[in-house]
Amino acid sequence: MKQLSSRASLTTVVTLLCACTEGTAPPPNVNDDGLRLLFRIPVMSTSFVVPAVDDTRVVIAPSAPNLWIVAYDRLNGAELWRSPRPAGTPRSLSIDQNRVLFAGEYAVALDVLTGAELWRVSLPVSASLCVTAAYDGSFYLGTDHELFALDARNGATRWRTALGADWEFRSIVRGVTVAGDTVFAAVERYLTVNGERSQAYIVALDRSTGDVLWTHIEGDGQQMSYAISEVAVTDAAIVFGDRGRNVVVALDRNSGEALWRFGGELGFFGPFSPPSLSGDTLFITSGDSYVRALRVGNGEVLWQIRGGSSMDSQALCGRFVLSSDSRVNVHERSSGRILQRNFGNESAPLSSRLVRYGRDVYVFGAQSGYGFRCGVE
Amino acid sequence: MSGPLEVQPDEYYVEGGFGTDDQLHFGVYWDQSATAMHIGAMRTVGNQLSILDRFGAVLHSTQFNAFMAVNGLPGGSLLDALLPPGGNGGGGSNPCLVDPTACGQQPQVAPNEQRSSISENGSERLVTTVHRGSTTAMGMQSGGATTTVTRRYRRFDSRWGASRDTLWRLVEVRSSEQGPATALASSFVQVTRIEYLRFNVNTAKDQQRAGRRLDASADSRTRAAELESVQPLPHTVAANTVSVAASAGGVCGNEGVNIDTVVAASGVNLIWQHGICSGASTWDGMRPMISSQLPVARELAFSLTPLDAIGSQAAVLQGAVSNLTGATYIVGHSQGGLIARRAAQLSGTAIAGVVTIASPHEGAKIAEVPAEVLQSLLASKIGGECFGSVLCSVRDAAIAAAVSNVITYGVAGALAPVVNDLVPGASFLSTLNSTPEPFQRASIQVEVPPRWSLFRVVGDATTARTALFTNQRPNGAQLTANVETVYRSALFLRALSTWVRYMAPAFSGGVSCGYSGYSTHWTACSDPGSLSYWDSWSFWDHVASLLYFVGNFVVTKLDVVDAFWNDLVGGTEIASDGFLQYSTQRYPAVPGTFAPIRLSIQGELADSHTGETASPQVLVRLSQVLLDLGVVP
Repeated sequence: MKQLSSRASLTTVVTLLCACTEGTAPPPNVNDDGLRLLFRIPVMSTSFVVPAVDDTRVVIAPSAPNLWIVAYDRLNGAELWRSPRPAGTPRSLSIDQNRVLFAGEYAVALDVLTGAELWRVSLPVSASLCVTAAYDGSFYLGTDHELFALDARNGATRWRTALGADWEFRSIVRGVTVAGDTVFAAVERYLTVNGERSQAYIVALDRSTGDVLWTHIEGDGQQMSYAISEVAVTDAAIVFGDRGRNVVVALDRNSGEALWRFGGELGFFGPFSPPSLSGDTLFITSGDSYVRALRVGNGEVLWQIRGGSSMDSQALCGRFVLSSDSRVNVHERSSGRILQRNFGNESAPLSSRLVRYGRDVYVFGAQSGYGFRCGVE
Repeated sequence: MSGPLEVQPDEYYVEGGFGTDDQLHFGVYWDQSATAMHIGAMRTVGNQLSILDRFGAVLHSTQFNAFMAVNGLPGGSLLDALLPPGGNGGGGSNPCLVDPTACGQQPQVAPNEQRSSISENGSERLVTTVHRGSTTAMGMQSGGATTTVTRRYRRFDSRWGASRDTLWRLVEVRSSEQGPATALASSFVQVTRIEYLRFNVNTAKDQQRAGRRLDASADSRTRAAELESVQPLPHTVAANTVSVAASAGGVCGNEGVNIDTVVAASGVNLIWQHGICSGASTWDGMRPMISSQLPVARELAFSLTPLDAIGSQAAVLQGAVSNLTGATYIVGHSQGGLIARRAAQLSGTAIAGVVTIASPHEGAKIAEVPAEVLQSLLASKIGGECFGSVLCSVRDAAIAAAVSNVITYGVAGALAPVVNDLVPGASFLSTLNSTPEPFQRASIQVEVPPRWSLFRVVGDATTARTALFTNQRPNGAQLTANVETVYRSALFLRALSTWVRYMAPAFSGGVSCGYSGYSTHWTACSDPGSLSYWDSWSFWDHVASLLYFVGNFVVTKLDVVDAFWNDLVGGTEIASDGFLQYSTQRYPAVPGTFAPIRLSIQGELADSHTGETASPQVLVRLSQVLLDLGVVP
């Protein structure tokens, strides 16, 4: 009888313990599908910098007062080098021609192998609000009313194009994209002194000369309308998010004519990062906290899922889509279903853009930096 | 051990233990210069019981059984409760049966009966229990073995002894069975003493709270009585509560610190506007973090008088910044967002942009309830079962601390003009939301999980703003986790009680008779053979009752308080940042213009209203919004 009682006791205790634990079912183990952690390293980056990645390293600009550019091994997170940078935080980093390129008060090039500064060029106006681009030996950036193409080898100006010479108020070049022979610039033009009314300008320029090919103006001028980052480019279209109006816009790549628009929830900030493209589908996150999959051809909503907080960026990762709302969430790529929230179990906010390089995705935040290895699609 | 408790300046003391009523008692003492009490937590895991501070650090840990034999606290052990001084279950009216030695006799015990005696010698008390078992043969009952158990108690004093006459602590149990006595058990004489738990008051803010005391000369019990006497009253009547209103200036006065720092030669002007019952220091963590990342030339943070009308405060701010040159942005938290908006409205186009963080653009539900009324409401929700003045004082002190930390603007009611501006539908809000705003506008809305939002608010209020330097989240998340642990522990205790009651016979080593109670089993069960059988059965039965009571009490009260707070701050809307409903934080569209843009912070990583100026999440979002507004030279 005593043995029976003991057994009953044990069973009851186990039952009670189970009853006291969280009642929700465990999330799907995304690791089984090939998503795994490459590394987690301590960093402090509360800015929304776009990291740069190449075959060997991922490079970030931690938050001030740590005025460094730091390169980490992209496979294990080991620090490779750190190099001092000028005051201010660049909006993005680029790698080209064995150089790490970034811009703020200055355009700066560092040796990608050692971090040694190779050249520094003073800019007339800060470019710290611009997501820059580097491609085929040129470094493209924008300041106030101007776009620059600098020689990545020595910082010499290849071309310099003024935008809106007749614009009365301020303008901001928010992002630059290079695709083929064309440079696409996303520009915010203030229509009032304080910019509470503005318009988004998408400007296509010849990559070799800086000549303007076409200009698209988005927004009715009655509210803030701007793309805060660079545009995404497909064979036939360019797609960007109007941050002020929370609208996704697709333009004809060759003419700048609007193909379609998709409006998110009113009153919220729109997309903070350009969409991720895969075939005829684009994936985009928004300040209204949605992750959406749209058809590139016509803007049809394939799926949309509301997360928690406002979303900042997304990245394709094998069968999954990763989204960032200060933490990394894992979505099923086919449906958007949230498979896991806060992958990595991070307690501090993640602020950098999710950047993908090959099968890997990287993100950095106020306390940690992560590298993820994605499975096959 | 005895005598009045000496509390050093700037220290809190907490002591706790079980009383003879089987209830858990906590005593809290604080010095005269501060009134805030930080809520700790109790956690039980298995047989391990831990007392946690508000950060979740273990202050004291002990075995549960040992804890019930607390030394130096009222009531002593649970065993005392089972065999209370002055009598026992087998006495009856015959004095010789109660105390045979008084009659010069050795106790005569019939088969299957028990007799007890009590004797005192100075500071010691002996309780002797004689039990004679029985044997049954051929329908005849005859005497079995006689067991004598002697329990030795020692008198002790308690800090709370004034409320109790005699307190005894069990120090030894000896047993004999028709022969020499042998020690049965002495493990529980290893009494674990609960040391005083000390909380340091180490922030300047705590010092400033000194003026919040209802009565500086009142001790805890007096203060508790005052709180108990406050009944829910209409708003206008509550405003006449002189003792509370008189302290309002000290509660929520001007911090007196203004910050005007030139950060760089070029850049924008960034103005930080605090919320109610706060000051420029609330930005001590966020301000340098933002200024170091963005091109800020000059930053200013003014301490305004938070209980003044918002329009008055806005006029002061507008005057202070009117001479600035260059692009100027104002970041306002809570009420500070409304001040920022009004100041910017008064400035025409001189202000480039306003960012509000969790500001009550449409009014605050909680502003409809004065603080002293809220205190009483909370107390009523927790219930009147205080089990004496001690626990009542703890309860009321906790409520007062929570309320005074976060909604002191309810204090003094009509004496605080700002309250009239914050009530939903206030004329000030109508004016504010219908005036053109020729500047960039954005809002950050925050929503925390509704569960334990009150505790999140209380915890976050204790956070040093400079915690941001180390990226440390406000304390509310940890306190909330602790409360959740306590809640789950209480659920477990409640479930465990059922199991313990069911398994009590097995624990005793005897055979289950299918009954559930000491008295019921006294003569009915099959041959238990020994006194320890009954003793242990009874012991576990009482343990089960205690577990259920403690567990059920904690679960019920926490649920009620949690629901009450959510209803209070959110009204019909569940979503809030623990203090302001989520919807009111949305920057409204001024008629004739577009809807301002906004970001939201939601979920487990969000920090509540009182922690937002120390929140890494808010810091990151604010950095993002300023990027949106084009904050560059």
